[in-house]
This record gives sequence, C-alpha cells and structure tokens, in this order.
Amino acid sequence: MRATAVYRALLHCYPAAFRHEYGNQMLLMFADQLGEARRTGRRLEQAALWVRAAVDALTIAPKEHGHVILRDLRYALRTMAAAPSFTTVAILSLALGIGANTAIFTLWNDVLHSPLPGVHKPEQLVMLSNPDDAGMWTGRWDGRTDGPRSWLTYGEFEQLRDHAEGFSSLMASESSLSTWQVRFEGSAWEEVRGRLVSGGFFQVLGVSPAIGRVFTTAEDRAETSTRSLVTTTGSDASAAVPTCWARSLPCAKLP
Amino acid sequence: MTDSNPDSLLPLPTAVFHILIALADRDRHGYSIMQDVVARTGGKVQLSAGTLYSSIRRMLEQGVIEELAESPDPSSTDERRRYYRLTRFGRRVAAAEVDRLNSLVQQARATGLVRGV
Repeated sequence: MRATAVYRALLHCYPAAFRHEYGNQMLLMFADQLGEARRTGRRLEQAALWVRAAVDALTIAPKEHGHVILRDLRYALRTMAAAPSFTTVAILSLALGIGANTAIFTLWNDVLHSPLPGVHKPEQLVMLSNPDDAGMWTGRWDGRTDGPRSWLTYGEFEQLRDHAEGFSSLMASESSLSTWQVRFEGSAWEEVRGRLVSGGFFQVLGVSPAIGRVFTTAEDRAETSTRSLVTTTGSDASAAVPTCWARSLPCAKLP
Repeated sequence: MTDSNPDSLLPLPTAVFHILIALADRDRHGYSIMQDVVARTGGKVQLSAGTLYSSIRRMLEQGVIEELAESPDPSSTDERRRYYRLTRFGRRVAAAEVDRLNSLVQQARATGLVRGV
C-alpha cells in the first residue's frame, strides 16, 4: 500500500491530463511488476523498478509537459486563425495595455526610483524645506514675505550651511531654470538657460566638469559677481565654453 | 491521425516498434505488452510504465493503435485494464519500418560491414 502511495505521488510529476488518462493504468502496471518481483523474491528487481519509475519522472514527465504546451499552442493558433477579427482586437488590446503599463512604469521608475544620473551617492542627497511647513512641495512663494512658504531663505541656508552638523555639506539652488542674457568675450549678447546656485553646488553633487573647473564655496563668499556657465544652448555659446568657463561674465536675467 | 503516409513516422522509436510487434498477433493491455517485450527480448528490453504509456499516448494520436471499448478476453475479470489494438495504418507503419531496417541491413552486408547469413 505504501509503495502504491509513493508511486501515485510520483505520478504528479506528469501533466494532469496525462495523469488522468493513464495514471491508473501506470499504477496498475507498476503494482503488477512490483508484485511479481516480490513473489520471486528478487530485491534487485524491486530496486530497479523504483529507479526506472524515478527516471521516468525525470525524463518522460518533462517531455509530456512539453507535448501539452505544444498542443495548447497549436490549439490557440488554430482558434486565432479561425477568428481573425477577434484575434486582431485581442492583440491590439494586449499591445496597448502592455505599452501603456510599460510607459507608466518607466516614467514612475525614472522619476521616483532611478538614482540621479552622474551624481555621486545620490541616495545621500536630501532636499530641505521650511520645517514649519507640511512638505517641500506644498505652499507657494508668490512674492509675499509673510504667510506659508516651502522654500528656505538664503539667510536660512547660510545658517544651516555654517552651523548645522548633521550634513557633510550643503548647497542651494534656484528652483527653476531661467533665461539669461550673457555676453561672452568680444561677442554679442545672447540668451542662455541657467539658474542661480550657491558655491559648493557641484561639490555636493559630486560632479566634475568635462573641462576647466567649477567655482568654489570660497568664491561664492567673495564679494564678486562671478557666474559660472553651467549649460548653454546654441552652437555659438557651446563653442565659447573653453574661454569663459568659471570666469566672470556680464549677464542679466530676462523677465 | 497526423499523416496517412507511414513513412512520415519513420524511423520509429525502439519502444514504439516493440509495442507494434507485441500487438501484431493479438490485442493486449499495457502490462501484457510489457511482458511480451520482456519475453521476446529475453529481458534485454524492459519498458517502464512511463515509457510505455507515453508511447501509447503518441501512437493513439497518430492512429497507429486504437483503444478497445471492451476487453477482447471474455474470461478477463479485471475491468480496469484498457486494451489496445493495431490499426490498419499501424500495420502499414510497421511494414514500412521493417522495410527500412531490411534496407539498412542489406546495405551493411553489401559493404561488408557484417557477414550475410
């Protein structure tokens, strides 16, 4: 009885359809073979039967699973070929669903999960906002000097930068890109996109320029109007980068 | 039945050919097929249950054999047994396999690989 139960358990290696069709016959045959071996007292024969049953489970059962999968695929293809309209709608629906999900996931992953590209140890970066407020994206600065706000003033930033010990370093940045009028050496005024940032901006991010150097925290504290060219648009401005990097440039912010 | 041309099933797996031979003279159930193969080969070939019923499943799909609705043996008391019979197409397949093997043997003898009887 125990041998039958073990063999019945082995049959679960086979696909359900095959097991339902031939499981009882296989069990019957195995019981016959085992009974014959026991009657004749051939222990080696009994052992060989179990070995063959185990080898079957490892070799025949996977082939039967493959056969079932192929049969199902053939049936599915025949069904699809018989109803091309339905098939087209189904495939298009699946394509749209998968495409939309992929796009949303990609966006969600890039915005919320992917580390900032090029930034050294992005997981250690934090953004500070007004601790009296609910969160950094709530509130809106509309030029008022009273009422709710999210952003820190430059004075508060300086206090934190010089006295807060919980951070290895701090930097401040304008919250949006602005358009500036800049004049490179000897050239005409042209528009570039840029933002005001504090000294140490690049050091905190852990990025280094491809050419030249970036301005330092010491330069930021000096009473100068040094502006560092961070990004430029337009071929003329790009060509001028090697001559004006980290140099004082006359500039004016456009409204 | 996958194809009415017997040659499309050749060469036959060894187990399938043994089953065809076992069913040539009479209808049999699985255990009887296994016993016949053991007796004919002197125990050199022993079909396991998995090999036997996997082959039977494939042969039924190919139309080489068919399952009988009732036991061909009136004296049989075990209704659990399922009996199988060689179909006409199955006999053609077996004949085609024999021809193929004969041709191979003749080629082996013609080239002197083995001595003819």
